Amino acid sequence: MNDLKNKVEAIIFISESPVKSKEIANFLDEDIKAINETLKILVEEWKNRGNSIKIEEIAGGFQFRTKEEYKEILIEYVNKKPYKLSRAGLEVVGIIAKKQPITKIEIDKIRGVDSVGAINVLIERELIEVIGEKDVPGRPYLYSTTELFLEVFSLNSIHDLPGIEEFDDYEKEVDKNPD
Amino acid sequence: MSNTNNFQNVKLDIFEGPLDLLLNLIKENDLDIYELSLSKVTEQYLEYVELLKEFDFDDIGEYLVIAAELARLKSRSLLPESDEEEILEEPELDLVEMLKEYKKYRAFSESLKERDLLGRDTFKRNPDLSLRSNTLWEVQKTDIWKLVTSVKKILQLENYKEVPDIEIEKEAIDQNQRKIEIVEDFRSNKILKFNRVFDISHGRENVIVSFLIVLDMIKDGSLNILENNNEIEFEYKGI
Repeated sequence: MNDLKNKVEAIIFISESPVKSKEIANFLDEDIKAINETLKILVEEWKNRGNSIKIEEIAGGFQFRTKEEYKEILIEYVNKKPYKLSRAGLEVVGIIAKKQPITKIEIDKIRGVDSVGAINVLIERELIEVIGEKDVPGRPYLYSTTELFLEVFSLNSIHDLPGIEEFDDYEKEVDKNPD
Repeated sequence: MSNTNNFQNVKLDIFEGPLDLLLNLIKENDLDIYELSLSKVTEQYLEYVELLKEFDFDDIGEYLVIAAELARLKSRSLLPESDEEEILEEPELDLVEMLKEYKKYRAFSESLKERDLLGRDTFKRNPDLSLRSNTLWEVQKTDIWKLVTSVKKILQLENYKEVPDIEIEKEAIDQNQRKIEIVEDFRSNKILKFNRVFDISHGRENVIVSFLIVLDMIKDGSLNILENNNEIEFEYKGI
């Protein structure tokens, strides 16, 4: 058991992208159930270990990430300008996340404004992608969020996002914290 | 203002759109989303549109569509109820419905900011930290309407005192020169208050040019808007 656990841990450790349990099972030629069980133990162990790292379920796989308490020092250590999402960009990626696959015209209709700039930035940053064309005149592109979107927003699956109806009477809390 | 614009990359898409502006106005006035509320904020909305025109953005069409609809609603609200159906045709846009729908999605998108963001709250292994390689992310916190509102205020202030010394400074402002000034000021100070960047005593055009430069810098990520006790400040992040 410990041997298997260590192997799984090592595979996740060296991987840059989230590793799916199925990939691990196939590679180690182990029963998927045993791997899932092992992963569950590993996640729990790292959570309780009291150090700075955790294993998180992201985009349907497993990934080593730092715990939130260490964000300040890491931001300082990395010392690079992050990609900045504008509120317009956030709005567009949010609409796509909820309504995918969706065309540009459908996005524009919700926002009441042309979204081409935001869409281009989101594509360039690989948060969204074209996944096909809609079967209507003009055959407009259909956009969906990417796996990177799940990674960036710490999501295991797009279905982990709350339903849109929950925001029906949401009063926006103004964020007073400085950037 | 006839604009020989060096800042053509500053497009209105840095703003969240006319529905966002309308929702902000409705909230500012403590109203709910009803037709009546819309006619109450019509004039304020039009003031913003006038200002956007002055900044010479060319993609202002959607703002005008909403403006026309607001004007239509307002004229209808002024008519006696019995005449209403006979005289006015059905609305082309159901603005109230649009706003309600948009508000949901806006709130949902805002909620994404609260999640653990890669490169802000949590970090993954990155073999080459010299590259950003999609591992560092940040979300802009302050909406740009707040900045526009502040610019609008000082431009209106100037209307009160049409002081003669502004007449003297009539020559066109060199936008590149102004950009160099702004960047130099940020380089030596890192954080600047709104009033330092936008100084109406240097004239109206100076404020407008400065605004376009600041928008450009916000867009390329070299400036952050901060709010400190309801006052806007800018933080320089380097180019």
